[in-house]
Amino acid sequence: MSTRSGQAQRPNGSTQGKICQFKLVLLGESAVGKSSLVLRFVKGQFHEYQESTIGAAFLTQTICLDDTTVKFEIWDTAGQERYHSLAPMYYRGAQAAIVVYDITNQDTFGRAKTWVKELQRQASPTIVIALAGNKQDLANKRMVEFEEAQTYAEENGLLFMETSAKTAMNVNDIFQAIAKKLPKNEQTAGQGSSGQGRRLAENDTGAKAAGNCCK
Amino acid sequence: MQQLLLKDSKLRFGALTFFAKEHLGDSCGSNGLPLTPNSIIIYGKAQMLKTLNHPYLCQYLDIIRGKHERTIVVSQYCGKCLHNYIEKELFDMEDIKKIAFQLIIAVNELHKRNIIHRNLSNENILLQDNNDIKLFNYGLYHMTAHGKLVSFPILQLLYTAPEVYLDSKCQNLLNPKCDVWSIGIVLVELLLGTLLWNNLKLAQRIRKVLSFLKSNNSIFERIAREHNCYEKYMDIPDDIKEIVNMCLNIYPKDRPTCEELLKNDIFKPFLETSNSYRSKVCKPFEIFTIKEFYHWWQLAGGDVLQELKKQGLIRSSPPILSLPNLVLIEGNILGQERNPATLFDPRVVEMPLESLYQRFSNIPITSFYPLIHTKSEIIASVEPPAYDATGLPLVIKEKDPEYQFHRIILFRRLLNGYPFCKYQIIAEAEKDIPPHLRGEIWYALLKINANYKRDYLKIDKDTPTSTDRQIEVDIPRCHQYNELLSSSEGHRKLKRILKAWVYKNSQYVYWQGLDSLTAPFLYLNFNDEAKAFACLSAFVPKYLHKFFLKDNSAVIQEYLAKFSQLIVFHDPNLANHLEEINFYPELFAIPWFLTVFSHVFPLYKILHLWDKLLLGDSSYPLHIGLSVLTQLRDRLLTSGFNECILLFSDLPEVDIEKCVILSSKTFHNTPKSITTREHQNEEFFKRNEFDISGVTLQDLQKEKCPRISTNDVVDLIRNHFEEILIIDIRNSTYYHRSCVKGSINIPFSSVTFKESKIESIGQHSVTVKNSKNKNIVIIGDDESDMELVDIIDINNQYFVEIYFFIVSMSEPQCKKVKMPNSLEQLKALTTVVADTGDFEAMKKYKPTDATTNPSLILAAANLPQYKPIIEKAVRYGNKVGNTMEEKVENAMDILCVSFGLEILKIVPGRVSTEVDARLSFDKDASVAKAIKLIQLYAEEGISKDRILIKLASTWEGIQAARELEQKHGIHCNLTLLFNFAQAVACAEAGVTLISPFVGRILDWYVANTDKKSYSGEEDPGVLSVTSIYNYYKKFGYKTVVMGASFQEIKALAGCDLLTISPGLLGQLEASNDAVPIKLNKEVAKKQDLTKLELTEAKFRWLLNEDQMATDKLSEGIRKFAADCIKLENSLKTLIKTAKK
Repeated sequence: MSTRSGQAQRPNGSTQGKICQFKLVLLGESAVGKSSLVLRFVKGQFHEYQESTIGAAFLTQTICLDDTTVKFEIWDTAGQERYHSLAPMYYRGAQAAIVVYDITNQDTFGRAKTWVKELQRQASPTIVIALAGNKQDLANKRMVEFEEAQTYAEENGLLFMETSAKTAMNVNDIFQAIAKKLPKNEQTAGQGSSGQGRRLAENDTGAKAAGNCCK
Repeated sequence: MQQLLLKDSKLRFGALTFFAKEHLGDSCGSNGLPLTPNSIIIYGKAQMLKTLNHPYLCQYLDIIRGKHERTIVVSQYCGKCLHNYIEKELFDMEDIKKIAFQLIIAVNELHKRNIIHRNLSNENILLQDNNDIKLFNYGLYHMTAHGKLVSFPILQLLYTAPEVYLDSKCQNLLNPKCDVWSIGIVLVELLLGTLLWNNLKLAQRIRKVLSFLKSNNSIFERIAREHNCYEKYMDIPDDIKEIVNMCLNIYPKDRPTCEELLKNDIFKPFLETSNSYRSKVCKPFEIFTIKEFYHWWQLAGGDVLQELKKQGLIRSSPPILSLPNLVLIEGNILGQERNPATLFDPRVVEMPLESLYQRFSNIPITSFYPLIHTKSEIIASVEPPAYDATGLPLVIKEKDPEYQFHRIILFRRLLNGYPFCKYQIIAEAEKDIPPHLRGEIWYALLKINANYKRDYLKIDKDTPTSTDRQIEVDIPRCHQYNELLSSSEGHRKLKRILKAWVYKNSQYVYWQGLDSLTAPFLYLNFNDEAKAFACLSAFVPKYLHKFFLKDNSAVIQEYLAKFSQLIVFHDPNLANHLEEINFYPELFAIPWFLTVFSHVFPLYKILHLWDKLLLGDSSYPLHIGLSVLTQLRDRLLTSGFNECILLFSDLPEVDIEKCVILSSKTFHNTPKSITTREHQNEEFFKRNEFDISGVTLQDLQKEKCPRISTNDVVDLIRNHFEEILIIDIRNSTYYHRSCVKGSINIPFSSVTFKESKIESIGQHSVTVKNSKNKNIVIIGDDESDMELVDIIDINNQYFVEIYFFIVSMSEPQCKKVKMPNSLEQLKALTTVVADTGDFEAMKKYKPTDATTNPSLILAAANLPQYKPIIEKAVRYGNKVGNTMEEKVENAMDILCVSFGLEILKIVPGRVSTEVDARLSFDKDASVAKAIKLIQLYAEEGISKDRILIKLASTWEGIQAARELEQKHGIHCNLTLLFNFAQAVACAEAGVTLISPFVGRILDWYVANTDKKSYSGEEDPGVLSVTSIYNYYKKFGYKTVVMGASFQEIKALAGCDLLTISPGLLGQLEASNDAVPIKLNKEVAKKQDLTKLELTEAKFRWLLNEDQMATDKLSEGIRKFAADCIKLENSLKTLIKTAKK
């Protein structure tokens, strides 16, 4: 497990809250706003013409949750179906995933369901999955009903929110919700050390082995 | 004199400006993306106007976007407005006919391109010095999407056809006939020599035009009457009157088209002259065009915006004055004073050219005519370059008007000569590429065929496909900071090109990133979609062959593996660091290479990068990648994984000129084979037998240091010998058999890499140390842990084609090499032979050769997994032999061979097969048995080259070997060799290999003398083998020494071969101790030895004198014989049971 938590020592010797690191991956059809969500969460920015992601991008963001500092190591993946085979390299060993769809496009919701299925089958059994219906600012062009998605999320035990990277609605909230749901006890999270979570996969060879699947 | 060329009256230009309509309220489209600003749409639409190049049309030069939706149009502007001449009555009837003709021709030219002028009046007809006309500002209606993108009406009151007023609200009337009406009005003015209704107010003028609708008579006549010109009217020849009347038909459908007008008889004489002009086969090429002139003017400090400000066309007012009184929540604005600037301002500002004239005043006329093909070498070397800018940074060169003048003049000439001048274009492009001609130069560099337009036309770009959705979501995100690419015209074109590409390349699929890849070509060829497509189509096979396959993993993985090796080659320190933190290229470099950086860098950087790329081959992107890493080197070296990956997720400012310089440097000084790939397009790279081929991806990914080909090694040796150090790490035997002249031999295993000090290399450390700045070529082969050795037969001499490894030398490099375990080290020095009949052990320790003997077979035969082999032998014995003895003998033979065959499946080298020990004193029987065994192998398809016949080193055995080697070409392995005389006799007999039993010698001494323990060096067995080895090497015998059956393996490191038992193999593998070389050919040669002359008598005498050897030889034969008998007995039982 690349998750580490531990008691960070302050210079004066008093102990601060726990620090946890989690690997989080974003999945979903292309142009649903994965990169935009991350950009909003990490930098508070929004680019109308956010470039498409090829391969994957990596970003980190730290949030505070009660007495715990949660550091997300975020892999933002390419949405195009062709890059699908790269995805396992990123979600393997991830503790959390956000599956994103575009509420104005029914197909992207279908694709999100496929991702959820794949995660449930292939990813770590303890992975926390959140479903994000993005582009809530375009609710007047909605094609996926809130209730429909919510029912689906409940059935599958997913966190669910409709988000808008453009207006920042629910963006921080969904990450917060994930952080809350993630286990932060010592059993599942080992002793912290710097540079952890840097590996893509749980074992060393994982990254390399998964590398040969750029289909 | 040059001033004549520059001061041509046609080389003048001016600018006008207007505002595009602003979007009101929330400006988001249905896809959630912001609406494209109208000025950008105009910018995109106006681009095509720049392609219009006609003698009667002013050429459009530039469209500039200013603040707040301002658009500035720069266009050729020369001559005087016709307006100024009307009332001067300077024209005779012929002049007017000519003007009419040119006017119709010009408007027709527009109509042919679906451009409606809508704005024609005597004010935008410019009369030239030679009385030709040029239309000006004819594209306004077109670029504003028929006026929809601006808030002012596009019309010229009097000149505008009445139907336009009737339709002015919805502006749906896209009928070019309105221009014909305007032509009519212009002609009326010319013919009557008066400006119509000059004094009337705006509304009155419109009323006048509308009043024509009710007129039943000739409108021309009516106008003439109203202006008191009836007499003049009556004087006008009927034919021209007729033309005017046709134009001024109030019904657009009855109005003739320009095409029809031109058919009129009065234009015949003009048509004939212009046709003769057109019929010329080849247009005279222009030394430069007004576009280039405008470009130089800009470089020389010309600033359109500044001029407009100076002339008061752009006026800035305090922002507070433009605030509206009320803004509703929906975004509606109320009470905002209309900015008068949002109306159309017809003023044109002529651009001053003095500073350019001055700047270029020293350019001699000869510079306009650079000699291209006839320049003699002698003149060239005397004559200084036209304008020396070498050494200046690229950015400066690109902004230097004089330099660009010379470059553009030269390139224009060369491009006119394309494809004939192809190689000159390449040679000049090596220096630099003038940005102004980049599109055309790229076209030439990509060697595009002149038929590209026709080819593009044939492709289906419209039928919907499954890829459309992806293309549609990608395009609005592709380089949108760029005005051209973000314009709707840009989107439309990009989509068409991508669809065409997908259609044309059915072997490929659309990968995200292809849009970015196309963008630079579209940007440079915005007005020539077909050319952009042709560029893309030529680019992909050359640089991205197979990258867009549906399954491109093998291609990409190979490319990334090559990238890793290139980093190792140029920057081992960095490579070490990146590997340590698990920072693989897979994580960051896929978008780099898949899009050749077009997804990573902004356009202006891509252009410079690709200027160089297009001169290189498909390996060039690797060098660009390297140059990026090199630039970020310091940060990477001090960062951990997260920091590094963050660095690339958000690529910091990369100095592109540095990239260009670095990448082109490494591109030129890296041996080509380092970046040669299996998936390379063979069309651009002809492989020959000395290039590397057939390397699997797995092997490639395993190898940290790159291989280089024989071609490159030869090239390095011939041309850069001073810059390289060749280290041969094969064992000294191979090294002395054949080696590269000037190379040094440091057998792999003689070196301890544990300490990172070069001193540990041994005797050559000084040489290596002094070669720090050299490239080190490491020559290795199979045994030196570098996989695969290929032997190519050249003129019957064995030339070992060795795989070459190049590493830039730096100290930590030593550390880099994987610390080999003792076994690996030993394998590098010595061929390791497994001393076992156990196949599993062989599979595990992977020896090169293997041996069997009755004892080993006996041991193995009892293991259950070998039962099938035994059974097979039994069946064979039963079948072939008549008597039990024959059956057993045959079964024995087949058993030995079967084990041999199994072993050959595992080991790459040879297997030794023993001749029955009981034949040790029978030369002829031994020979016969050996030949039989070889035959049995041959029947199984195994050549005798892979077999060693094992014979005991008795005099008879040795003589049998002599006969087998010399007469039958069968290789022999003389075993049970304990003594120097035996060894000498073997060498004299020319046997292939001897196996001195090192350990048993020691055993005898321990058992029979007082000394009970020996160190490696005093071990009598080791001493014996050492003396044999030295004797062989000193006198140049080819017989190979294979130390066998012993413990002190490391004491004999360097021996040609060593057989080692599985147990010892295991120990060696587990150990990391250094294995320094002990037996050394060079040392042997320097020994002072005398040659021993041997006869049978002397041999027997010397053997008999050596108690140890005599004892051990007899004992060995007895033991092998006993094992033979045991094996025979068990076979006998089996045969008997099988019979039953």
